[in-house]
Amino acid sequence: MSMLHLVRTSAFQTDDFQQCLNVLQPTDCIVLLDDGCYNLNHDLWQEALNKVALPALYIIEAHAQARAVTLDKEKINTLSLDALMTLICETEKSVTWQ
Amino acid sequence: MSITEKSVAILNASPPLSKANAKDSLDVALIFGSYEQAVSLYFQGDGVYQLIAEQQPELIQQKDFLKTFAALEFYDIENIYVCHHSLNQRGLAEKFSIENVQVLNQDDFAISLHQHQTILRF
Repeated sequence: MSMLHLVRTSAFQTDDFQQCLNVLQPTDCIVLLDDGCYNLNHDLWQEALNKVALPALYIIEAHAQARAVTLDKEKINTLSLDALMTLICETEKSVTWQ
Repeated sequence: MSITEKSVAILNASPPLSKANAKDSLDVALIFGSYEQAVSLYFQGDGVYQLIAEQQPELIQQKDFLKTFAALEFYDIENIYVCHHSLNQRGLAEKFSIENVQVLNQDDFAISLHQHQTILRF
């Protein structure tokens, strides 16, 4: 029943990420990609950490580095795009927030 | 191998008039309906504006596709859910342009959405 949430927009601009958090369940996973990487430094990220275990929170490394978003092991795990493909296949269902 | 019936959730997050998302989403719902594919509609964020009664798109020279929501019934699309939190945030009363709209609190809305195998967000 777990769901993979692909977040592609910044919460500083739209409330897609807030809506994602509103439907997030404890067994779900979140992947930040593209401008979604900026959410790592948004106040809402703490809410994600409260709702879901750290091992289920990912960010696409290349996308974060491209944007000079500093990565903190305590707050997020990095993922390559190839690994994302595996994750998508392994998860029963996914929804994209963009 | 038992073929379990997969159901689709269409999650609407866009307001009705300024973008094509709402109309595209309704078209997709009706297409699924015409193939008797189980589909449920969810309205969250600005998507709740789509169902508000007494809108007049013709005043801004737009085709009134909102009345097409009435067609949902003919395709047996009866699972229509609206996020209560989103209505509250926008100060909207529960006065909708169609019948059988179920207003769910945030938790029920989330759990209901998780029942579906495929989620399309517009």
